[in-house]
Amino acid sequence: MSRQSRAAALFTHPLLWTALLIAVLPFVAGANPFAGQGGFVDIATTMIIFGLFASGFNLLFGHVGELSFGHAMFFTLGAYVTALYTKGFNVQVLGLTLQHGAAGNMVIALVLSLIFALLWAWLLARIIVPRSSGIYFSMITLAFAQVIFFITYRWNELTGGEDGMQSIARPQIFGIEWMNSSAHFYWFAAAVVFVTLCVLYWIINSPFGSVLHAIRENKQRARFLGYDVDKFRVNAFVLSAAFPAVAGWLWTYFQQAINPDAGSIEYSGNVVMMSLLGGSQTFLGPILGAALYHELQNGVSQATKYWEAWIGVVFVVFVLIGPRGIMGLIDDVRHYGIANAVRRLFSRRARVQTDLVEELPPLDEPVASEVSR
Amino acid sequence: MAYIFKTEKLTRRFSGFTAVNAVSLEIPEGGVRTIIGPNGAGKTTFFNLLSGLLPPSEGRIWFREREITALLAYQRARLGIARSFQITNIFGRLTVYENVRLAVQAVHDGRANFFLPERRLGNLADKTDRVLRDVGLYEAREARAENLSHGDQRRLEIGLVIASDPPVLLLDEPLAGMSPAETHETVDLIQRIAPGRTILLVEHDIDVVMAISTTITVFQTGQVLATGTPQEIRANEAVQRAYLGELA
Ligand SMILES: Nc1ncnc2c1ncn2[C@@H]1O[C@H](COP(=O)(O)OP(=O)(O)OP(=O)(O)O)[C@@H](O)[C@H]1O
Ligand SMILES: [Mg+2]
Repeated sequence: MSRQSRAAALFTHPLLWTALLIAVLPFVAGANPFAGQGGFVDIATTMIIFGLFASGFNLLFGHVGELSFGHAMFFTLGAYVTALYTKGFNVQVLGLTLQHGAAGNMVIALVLSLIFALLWAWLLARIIVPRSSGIYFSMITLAFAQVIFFITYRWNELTGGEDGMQSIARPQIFGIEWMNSSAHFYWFAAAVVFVTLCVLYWIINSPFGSVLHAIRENKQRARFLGYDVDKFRVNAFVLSAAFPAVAGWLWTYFQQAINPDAGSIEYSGNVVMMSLLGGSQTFLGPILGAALYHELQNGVSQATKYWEAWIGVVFVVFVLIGPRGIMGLIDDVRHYGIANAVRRLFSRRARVQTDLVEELPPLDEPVASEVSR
Repeated sequence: MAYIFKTEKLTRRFSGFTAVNAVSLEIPEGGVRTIIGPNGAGKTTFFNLLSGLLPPSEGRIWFREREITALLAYQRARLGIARSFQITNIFGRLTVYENVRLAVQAVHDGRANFFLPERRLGNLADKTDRVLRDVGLYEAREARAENLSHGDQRRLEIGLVIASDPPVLLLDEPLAGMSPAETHETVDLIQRIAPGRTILLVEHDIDVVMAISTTITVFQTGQVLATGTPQEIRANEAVQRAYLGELA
C-alpha cells in the first residue's frame, strides 16, 4: 500500500470517526465535561449507550440481513441483572428462597449480565434461527422480548414491577465515588463503549464477518460453497446480544434506576430506527443514528410536545428517499459529488437496493429442502 | 470401476408431476460426464438432487461408497461436491474479489474465525488471485459482481465452483448466453481443470458436448434413455429419434 492510500485508509477508518464522535458528543450537546455536573453531558451518555446497543443490534440487521424486533430483551436483561446484583434481592420461587445481598463489583455485574443475556440468546437462537427468517423471524423475536418484558413488569417481588428499582449506586473505583459526576461517568461509559465497539469492528472484519455478508447477500450460494448458514446465523445472533447487554449494564449505572421500559417494544423499535437513520450497512451508521435520534428528541421535544411524531416523519422521509441512511448519503457524495448524489436520492434504481427491500425473502429460497430436514 | 455418484431409483415429484423418475445410475469417477436431453427432461432437477438443493421423493444417493441421501447441501459441498446454477447464482452486491475469496475461504480451516483479520488468513489472497486469473476476471476484481456482463458473471460462477479445488464439479449449462469467444475460453478452462476431477456437465451446445465429453447420458421425461461415449450416442437410434435427430 502506498503511503498516500495508507493515510487515506487511516483517515476514513470507522474507528477513528467513532472515537472522534465520542470525543465531541458532550461538547456538541452543549456541556463542558470538565465542569463537573451538567445537563447536556447526560444526553451524550444516552447517545453512546444507545449507540452501542444499536451497533450490536445492527450486527444482525445490517450485516446478516435479519431484523430482530426484540433486541431490547438483551438490553433489559443486562440492565436488570446489574440492578439486582447491585441492590440484592430475596424472593420465593417454587418454595425455594433465592437471595443475594447488595454488592458493588461492577466487573462481576458485567459478567453476570453477559452470562444471562448470552444464555438466553443462545437458547432463543437454537429455537428460532433454524425455523424462521424474514418477517417470521422479526415476529418471533418480538414475542420472546414480550416474555422478558412481562417478567420485569409483573414480578413485583423481584423486579419492583412497574416502578422498577431506584437508588442503584454507581460503581466505586478503589472506594472512590468518582463516577457520581455526570462528566466522569460519561468518560467511563465512553471508554467502555469504545473498547466494546472495537471488538465489534474486529468481528465484522474477521473471516466470520465476511461470511455473514455472504449470508446476507445470498444464503443459498453460501450453503453451496459449504457454509453451515444456520450455525453462522446462530452465532451472529448470540454475539449481537452481547452488545445490548453491555449497554444495559451501563444504562443501570447511568440512570441509577431501572424500570420495564428498558425492555419495551419501543426500545426494540428505536434501535431499528437508529440503524436506518445512520445507515445499517456501515459500522458508524448505528452510532451516528443513535446520536441523531437523541439530538432530535431533545431538540424537537423542547419545541413541541409532538416530538415523537416529528421523529416519525424524519424516519419515513429517510426510508423513502435515503434508505441507506446518513452514511449512505456521505458515501454517495464522496463517490458521485453532491449534485449527482442528490439526483440519486430521487432515482428509482438507487432506491431499490435497500435494506427494507432486501428483507423480503428471495423467491428462489429452497424452502422445502432446507427446512424439512 | 469406482463410481463417484450412484443413484438408486432416484425420484422427484412436484405435486404429482414426476420430474425425475426412478433413475438408477452409476457415474464413474473421472472425466467429463455430460447429461443432455430436451427442455424439461429433468437434468437440473437431477443436479438438485445430487447437490442437496432438493430432497428426493424416493430413492437413494451415494457419493464414493458413502450414502449422502440425508446430507444437507452444505455438507455435500464440504465433501467436495461443487456446483454452478443454470440461472447465475453469485453474491451480486459483493465485489468479484470478495465472491471468489468467500469460495476459497469456505474450505479453509479459519473460515469461521472471529478474531484474525481477513488478510492474516494464510494464503487466502494468493489463492483468490490465482482463481481470478484462471477465469480471466483478475482485472475486474474490484467491480461489484452485479455490474459484470452476463458472460463475466457466468465465468465468476465457474470461479466460485473451482475455487475450493473440488474433486467433483456439477456445471449446469455453463455456456448458456456466452458469446462464441467466451464459450471458447470457458471450454478451454473446463478442459484445463478436468484432469484429476469428475465434471458433471449439463449442456445444450451439442458440438461442445461431442468434443469434450468422456461419456454422455441422455435424459428424457425424467428417465435415462441411454448412456455411452459420444460415438455410441451419435449412433444410438433411440437417441436420434428422441433428440439428436433434429440437431444432427
Ligand atoms: N421447483 C419446481 N417446482 C415445480 N416444478 C418443477 C420444479 N423444478 C422443476 N420443475 C419441473 O420439472 C421438470 C424438469 O425440470 P428441469 O429444470 O429439471 O428440466 P431441465 O432438463 O433442466 O430443462 P432445461 O433444459 O430447460 O433446463 C420441468 O417440467 C419443470 O417445470
Ligand atoms: Mg435445466
